[in-house]
Amino acid sequence: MIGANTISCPNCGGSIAVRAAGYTVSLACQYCGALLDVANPDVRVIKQYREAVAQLPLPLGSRGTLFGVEWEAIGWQERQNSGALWTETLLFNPYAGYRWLVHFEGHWQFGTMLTETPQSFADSTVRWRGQAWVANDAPTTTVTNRVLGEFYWRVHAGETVGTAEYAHGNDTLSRETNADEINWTHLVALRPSEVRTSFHAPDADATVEDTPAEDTPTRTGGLLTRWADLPLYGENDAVMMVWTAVLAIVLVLTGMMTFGAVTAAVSSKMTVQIDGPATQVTVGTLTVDRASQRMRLTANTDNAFVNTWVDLDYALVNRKTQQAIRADGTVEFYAGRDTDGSRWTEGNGYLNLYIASVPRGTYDVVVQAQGHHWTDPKAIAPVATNGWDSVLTSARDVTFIASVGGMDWGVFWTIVALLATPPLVLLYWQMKQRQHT
Amino acid sequence: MPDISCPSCGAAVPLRKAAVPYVVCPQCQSLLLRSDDDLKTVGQAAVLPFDVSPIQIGTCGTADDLFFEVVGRVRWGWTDGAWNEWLLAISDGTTRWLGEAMGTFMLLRDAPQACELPTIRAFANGGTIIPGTRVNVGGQEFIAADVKAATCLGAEGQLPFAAPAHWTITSVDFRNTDGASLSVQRDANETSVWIGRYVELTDLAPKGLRRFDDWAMPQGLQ
Amino acid sequence: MSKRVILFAVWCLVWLVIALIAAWYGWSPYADANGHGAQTPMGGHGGFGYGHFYGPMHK
Repeated sequence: MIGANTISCPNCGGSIAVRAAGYTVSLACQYCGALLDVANPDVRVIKQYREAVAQLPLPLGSRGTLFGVEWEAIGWQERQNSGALWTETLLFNPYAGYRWLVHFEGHWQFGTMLTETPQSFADSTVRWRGQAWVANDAPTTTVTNRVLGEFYWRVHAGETVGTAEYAHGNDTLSRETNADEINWTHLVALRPSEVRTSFHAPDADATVEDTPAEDTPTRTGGLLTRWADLPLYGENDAVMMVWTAVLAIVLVLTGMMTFGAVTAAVSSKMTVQIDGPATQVTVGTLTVDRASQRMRLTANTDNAFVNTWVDLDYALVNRKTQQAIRADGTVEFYAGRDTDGSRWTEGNGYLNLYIASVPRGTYDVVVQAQGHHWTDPKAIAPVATNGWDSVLTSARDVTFIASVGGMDWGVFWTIVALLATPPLVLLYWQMKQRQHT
Repeated sequence: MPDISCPSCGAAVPLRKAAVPYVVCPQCQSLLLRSDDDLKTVGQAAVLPFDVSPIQIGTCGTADDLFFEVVGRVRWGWTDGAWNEWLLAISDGTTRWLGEAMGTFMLLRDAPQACELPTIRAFANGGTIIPGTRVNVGGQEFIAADVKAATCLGAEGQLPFAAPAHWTITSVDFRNTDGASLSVQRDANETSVWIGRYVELTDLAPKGLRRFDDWAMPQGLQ
Repeated sequence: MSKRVILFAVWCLVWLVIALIAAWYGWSPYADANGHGAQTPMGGHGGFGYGHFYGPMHK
């Protein structure tokens, strides 16, 4: 005979195999979530739940072997206390009884209910099987959020118990108290690989699964319910976020450098009249091949350029449309001596202008320059140059470079800040929390 | 032992232990009482609901160095669940009980001497016991863990008493720190006390356990 | 694994995509000018630098 009793959910009509027949008291229908009273032959609906039925890490009906015994996952509950959220899966074997699999932030524990009660002998210590177990936290209240599958007591969402935990090495003793009884459970840590490799999906003929008769929501699976089942926070979040940010920044850097490589450049030198008429030169012709690209316009000067500024007006003239994109700036450099004799400088003698999103096309880069000299009123004598230049009729060389493409460091560092901030903030919070405990 | 014939429906009713007087007809659930040469119907037992207990009539094993055979069962139900009590017939003519609830087993024997305890006597006379009450039996201290009103949900096989449908009792379970347990049951007529301890199924070295198509017998029980 | 980590990974992916699109099309919020129209009037006044103040600001 099959070790299961088949009932029909009175709410949705779904066919449910009751595995722990004779022991199971409450059963939350895996199709519609309704909580059923199966203690009596006539199954009653206790409560209907409207939430989507979860896809569980160990689906109900899946079996696995732990500690030499084959177990079937028959019940599941999600519970929480003040600081934590976890799930408990009820395992059953008709020859071995019940066990629990507790899953908290990636850790698994295998729990067995005790039949002998530990003795308390100090404030926060109990004695069991000849060993001392010490409480690692103050007692707290645990509430059950959601339930699915079979249970041997009248479980319901929202039920609360007082919980206390005592530790010895890697094992835990958990005590749950409510109005009627006290239950103790011995929990042993399991490696996630032990759980994953030993549990698998149910066999095709092990349980009878008919589609529900009424138009009820079918069992939702896939990405959306797996998302719903993920905890909000995880223990390793900070580390994972740091590595994600590092990877993302590396990808941003390589991507930006590849896409933002300089694709063309032209240059030309011009002699700018200082305090004379404006002069114009065409630096060169540049082609933008993509829908749009960035352009960089550079003007460089040499050592002779001092106490001078040059106003530059750029025009990127589209050969086809004759429309011009304009930009302007100033190249300047000043130097002098203070009354106390120390030398000062101002300006940096070069100019970089960045033009973003230059549309596709071929452009003549034209620049108009007008140079001016600045006389230092504090200079005792005119600033000596090489003697050949006269203030009134001098000229200076300016080298112009125009290029298409180029790495935008401003955007890069902004993105680094955006990516690095959340993990750093998280690490900071976690550090502060650790200081308090 | 030869089968007997049910006086109500005529079906063959198997017997395993001569000394156990009551038997439930597997066909019509009539409660039959055997006395010397007499066999009569004294009541009706409820039909047992399906369960996946590994124990069945005919299972054998060893308890406290005594060889036993399971000859009967009573099933009790209360508002929040149910449990089985299996009658173990020992070769020396005595009996034990194997209580089975939530996958845990208790091996119990009659403890009539405990009926003399004041707490139990008061309970037998209609008093109440609340969880947390302490009693001392034979030097062991027990604490009342739960008190339930229970109804007989069915019976099968041979029993030392009649287990009719709708039979109601008040049942108190006492536990202690060593895994020992005390069970007190009071019905309309009398109060009985059993004493024992929790056991694992493997402790009983059972043979003839029930088999299921979709469950393999675990290593330790083969 | 938690919701928080997934959301952060999505955040990183979004900015990665934005960075790559910006780099490909040469878009930048920090540019001095952009190719979508004439920016500053002729004459060299306005724009960055303090040349239009006629000389350094150093006292």
